[in-house]
Amino acid sequence: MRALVHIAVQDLRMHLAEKSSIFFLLLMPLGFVFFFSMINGSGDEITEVTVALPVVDRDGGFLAKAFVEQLRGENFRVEVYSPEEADTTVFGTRFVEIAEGFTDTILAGGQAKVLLTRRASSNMSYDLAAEVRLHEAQVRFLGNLIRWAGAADSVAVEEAVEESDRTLDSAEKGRFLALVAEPSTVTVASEFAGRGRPVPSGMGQSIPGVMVMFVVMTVLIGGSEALTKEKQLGTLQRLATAPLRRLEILAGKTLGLTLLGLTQAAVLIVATELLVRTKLISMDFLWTPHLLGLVPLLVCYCLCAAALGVFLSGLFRTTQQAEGLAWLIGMVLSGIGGAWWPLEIMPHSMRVLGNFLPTAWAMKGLHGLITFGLGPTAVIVPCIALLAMAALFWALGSRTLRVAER
Amino acid sequence: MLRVEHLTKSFGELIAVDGLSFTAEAGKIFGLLGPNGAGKTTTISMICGLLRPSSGSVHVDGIDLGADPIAVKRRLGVVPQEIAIYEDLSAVENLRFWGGIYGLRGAALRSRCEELLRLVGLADRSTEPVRVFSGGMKRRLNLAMGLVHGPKLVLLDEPTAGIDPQARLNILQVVRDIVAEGTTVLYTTHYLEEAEHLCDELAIMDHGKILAQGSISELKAQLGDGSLLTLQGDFDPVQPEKVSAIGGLRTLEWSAERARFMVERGASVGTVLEDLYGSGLHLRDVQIKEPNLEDLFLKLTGRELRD
Ligand SMILES: Nc1ncnc2c1ncn2[C@@H]1O[C@H](COP(=O)(O)OP(=O)(O)O)[C@@H](O)[C@H]1O
Ligand SMILES: [Mg+2]
Repeated sequence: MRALVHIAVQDLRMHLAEKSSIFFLLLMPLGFVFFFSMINGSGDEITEVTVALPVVDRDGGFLAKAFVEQLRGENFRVEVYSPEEADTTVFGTRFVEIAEGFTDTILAGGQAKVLLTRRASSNMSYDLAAEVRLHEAQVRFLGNLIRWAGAADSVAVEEAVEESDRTLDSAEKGRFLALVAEPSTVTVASEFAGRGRPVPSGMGQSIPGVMVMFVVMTVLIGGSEALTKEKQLGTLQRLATAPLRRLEILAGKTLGLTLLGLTQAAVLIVATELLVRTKLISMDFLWTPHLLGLVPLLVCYCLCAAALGVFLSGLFRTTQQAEGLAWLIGMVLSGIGGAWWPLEIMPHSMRVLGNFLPTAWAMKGLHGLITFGLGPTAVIVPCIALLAMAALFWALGSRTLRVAER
Repeated sequence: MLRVEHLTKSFGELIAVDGLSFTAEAGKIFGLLGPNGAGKTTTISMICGLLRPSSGSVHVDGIDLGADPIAVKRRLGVVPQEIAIYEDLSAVENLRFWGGIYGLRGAALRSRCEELLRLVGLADRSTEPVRVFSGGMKRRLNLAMGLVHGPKLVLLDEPTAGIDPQARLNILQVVRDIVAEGTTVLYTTHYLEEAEHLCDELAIMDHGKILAQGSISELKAQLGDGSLLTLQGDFDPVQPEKVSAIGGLRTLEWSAERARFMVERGASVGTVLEDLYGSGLHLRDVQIKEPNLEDLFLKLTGRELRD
């Protein structure tokens, strides 16, 4: 165990002593951070968004009108179109349709339909916001309906149910519309959770992306280059002549690379946090509130990247091979893993593939913490996935990286 | 100290080490002498656990390598033929790292490193990166790294291959020093002089097999204590059978231009030469000398150690 740590610490020191490491560990990732900070603009001017939510009222009844009222809200532009107007209008993003017979059907105790149609070109996060708004409106509308029905003269309502809303006197209708206009008794608190999340964007996507990418690049390139060199020089075999178990040597090498990855992550975290606090860049989040989830996530991620590095370096014969291929694999992992752009906007097949990439799980964990604000528990599943992959890579690595004949 | 029994290693068709058996006594230098490809490195690799023997056994200090490799390795110091050091570290950093692997720490480690650097003559260059070292300096550091934990048995695989005479002298002196302190050494080489002057006990090997084994004087005795006769000339028309009929003469080598004979003790070199002339040999050069290990190798294998 002491020898294992001894190997790991020595490896880390050798990695950090490389002249190029200041460039790769610090300058290059910081260059990326500044670049993204510039293209994302300053984060403190929060733009108010208004989501267009046109409604086509094919019913025209008083309950339909009441439902429309429920849809209106601060960030939603609700314009009502009659069926005739709708036929001549092209809705560019999305629109809500209240089906014909909406009022009658409800009064008859049936199921009425409201339809949200969206265009392929429309912004997905706005669509999601509209969908959530629709659900909120539904719940409020039902709440009001129940209040109205409870207070109404039961005979009148029964009559109305049997006949039609046309027989309801206008006083009853007015009373319902008044209810609708009241502050809602049913509050619908909506938060993004589970599937219908917004797509991470801005610095919340790019900075975790830079971190995930640089950790995997540093570990894979640095690690496989160093280990391939050790294979060629014979220092790895020489270690096997010492009173160490084979797995102890491999574990030492893996731990060394894990520490290298953690150093890379720590450098980025400290540097960006300092840059934000000194207002040199603006970021819409800070790392420090998330440390409780961040630390275990990064440990698991770096361990996984290190195990992958050990596995790969067993396959490489020359340091040139190691450099080139490790670089390529690192880039592919970063790209498909969602470090460059959110996985959410990628084709389905890529998202499925993402479930098998350590980079994708690291991004999932980071987004859970930073973009979705889910708290430390958000990293549990990503950590388990990363550890499972680390175990797999390690098992493969202990076969590919031959230290001594077994 | 080291007991090797019927050790065999095959790589597919090739049998690199073929049923090797020998014992290295504690506090002595046991040499393995053989040309390139004889199987010396393969033998060392099996003793230090890098290669798994196809069959046979290795005991160090009475401990079976197969049964407890860690305990055996704790007693071993290995100096590989290929220099295996970290080029980006300095000599002292290499030594400290390696000592740390064996559990040495703090002041004990520091003083041990200093002592070794002095021993191999690198004390004044100890903080330079190894990258800038000459081949001889790297070899000396390579040796020191194998000694850092004070092993009971040191395996030296051609530690003087391809270096300057001064570095060679230093290395040979270090080997004598550690043996004087009670360390056992297994020393492989393809340099005859080295084997002859350094080793207490020697095994001559070729094609994975030991051809002869014993102390230097025992081995020389295998040649008989006659004289060695080397002739240069034009031997083509002469039948070798004619020559071998001459009394007191044993043919070691016979080619168109060169022949070697052993003139047995008791036979007169003068008489033998007269007889040779009589058989119609045309001679250009005649050499008479006492036989050495080179000649033993020649006698055993029919070829010279150095091609
Ligand atoms: N890993 C290996 N795979 C296949 N053949 C090998 C391997 N190692 C050594 N050999 C062969 O075994 C023979 C003995 O090699 P080696 O032990 O290195 O000889 P020496 O050290 O005496 O020069 C050589 O013919 C060599 O080519
Ligand atoms: Mg060799």
